[in-house]
Amino acid sequence: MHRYRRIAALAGIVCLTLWAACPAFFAPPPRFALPSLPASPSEKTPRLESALINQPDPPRVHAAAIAALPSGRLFAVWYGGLREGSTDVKIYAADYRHGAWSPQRVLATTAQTMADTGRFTRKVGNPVAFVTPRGELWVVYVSVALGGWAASQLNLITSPDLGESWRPARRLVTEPFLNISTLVKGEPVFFENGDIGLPVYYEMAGKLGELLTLSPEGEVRARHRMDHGSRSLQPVVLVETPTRAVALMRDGDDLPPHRVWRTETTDAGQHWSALTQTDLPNPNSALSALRLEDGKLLAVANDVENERFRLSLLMSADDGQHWRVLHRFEDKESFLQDPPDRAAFHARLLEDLQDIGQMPDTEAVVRNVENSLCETHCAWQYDYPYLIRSAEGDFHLVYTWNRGFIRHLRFNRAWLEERL
Amino acid sequence: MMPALLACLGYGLAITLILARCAPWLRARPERMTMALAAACALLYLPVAGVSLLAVLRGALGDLSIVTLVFLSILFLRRPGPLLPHAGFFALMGLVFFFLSFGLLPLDLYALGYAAAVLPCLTGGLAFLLWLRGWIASSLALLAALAGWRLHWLDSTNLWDYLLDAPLIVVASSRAMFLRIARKPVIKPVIQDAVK
Repeated sequence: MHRYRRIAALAGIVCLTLWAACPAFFAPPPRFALPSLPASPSEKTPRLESALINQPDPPRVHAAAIAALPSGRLFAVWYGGLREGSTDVKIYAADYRHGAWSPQRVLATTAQTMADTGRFTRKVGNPVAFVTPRGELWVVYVSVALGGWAASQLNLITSPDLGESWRPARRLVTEPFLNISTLVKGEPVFFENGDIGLPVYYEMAGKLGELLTLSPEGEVRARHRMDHGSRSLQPVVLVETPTRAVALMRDGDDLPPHRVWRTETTDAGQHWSALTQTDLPNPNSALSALRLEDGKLLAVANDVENERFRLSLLMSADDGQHWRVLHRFEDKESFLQDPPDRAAFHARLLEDLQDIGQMPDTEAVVRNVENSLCETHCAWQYDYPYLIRSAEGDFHLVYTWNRGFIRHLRFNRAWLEERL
Repeated sequence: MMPALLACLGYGLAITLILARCAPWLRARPERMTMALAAACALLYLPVAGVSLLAVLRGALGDLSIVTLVFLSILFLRRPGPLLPHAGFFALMGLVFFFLSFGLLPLDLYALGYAAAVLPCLTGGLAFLLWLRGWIASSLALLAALAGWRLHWLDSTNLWDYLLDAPLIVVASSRAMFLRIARKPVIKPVIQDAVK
């Protein structure tokens, strides 16, 4: 009798193991979904529009992302507070409808995140917004319980009606050691089975890019590291075929030369090649990129080695290895040798504001920017670009403008072709 | 709901067992232990400055693994015995695993815990061997982790989070070190033998 019980127990163990492991036996290999081609451009007139999205309060904002919604609508998210990393930081959002940006609204707070997830949260940061293949609007943002940004964790909020209402935040578990150090910055890619590939990065002991696979329900399905060591951050994944993609990454290495890193996959993100340096300078700063219908890559980046005073539009015809500048959206190199005093800075700022487009009260903009940028001496800063293309074919770029504002630039294919 | 309840149970059991170590009279009667567990769980939900202790623990340490929960439950239900079976194994496994998770080497063990078949099969195989060797509690802990992972008892979808957690590794490492020190052979002075 004892022997039969023992055999039954062991058979039970085998059955339980097979039941636990069986879904993996039937999982098909992943394949990227190719980005849908935008409508062919009907507009022949070059067009570049500009706006400052946020209000002057809170005074510091950063890490904007933008998503294209149906009917030409846009949805932008960013975080803001008294200063970066302070506990009053909230995630803000605004909508673009009928040719103008709506007033900003609070999308997520520390208190709400804590209540929703049932876990202590001290601050929130970096959000990324996107529309899933199922047509839901998702925002993934980081939060920190203890320590600095390197100890971040990911949270997901989803909206079934494109931003009208939101479900409670969920914590994504992505790391084994106290679930710390996963941050998000880049635009997601999608898989043919409806899964979402979210480029994230780890920056605790090492610094490396990762591709996180989320199910359409928002569960983490897989994680693939793009590198090891301590040199690459904030990947941007650019899909070419259902199995091939290139990723570009911010340089997080202490040693020069400081260049954007590049890697590629031929099995839809399961494995990534060894990192190589491109010829695009990078001052340890985020970049954004997308693939055009002819296969060329378009990027927005700080193409200098050690400052963020310049933000350029660049193009690569060889899958990201070599880049040429098409346009400078922002460039204050002339002030590098001779830093402006407060009066000169003020005068130049007013000059810049003349073609900024929709914006809050000029006085408040100037006050915020000067308070942010003129602590010891005045220095310009343009960073954290996020570039997308809407279904209508227009390009939308958001970035942090002088630490105090989120600037939105919209340009059409005709404007781009003028610069090719 | 389920992850929060399991977290409350796990941290409640841990607090109760720590209390029982400090106050042996608690161990004397099972109903005292049950009451202590209920009090610990209530304490975990008590908000202090707007935040409950459970939220702080879950925010800082995360949820306890199913293996830890099983070990805590076994310790709670029986009289004091070995604090943690296979402490050395868990300590070594955990330290190697957590070191690899820092991304300094190309090997990423944590990635195996998502949907691949390798880790569930290894876990089942280890449970099988442990059962054969008569380590029923450890085998049950691994099987509960497998079942919990498949049924999604925790927020995580990674099997590793059902098998290991940082507090378990800290306790296992401390226990392994303690056992190593305790087992250190005593070198008898030669002169003592000579006297005999």
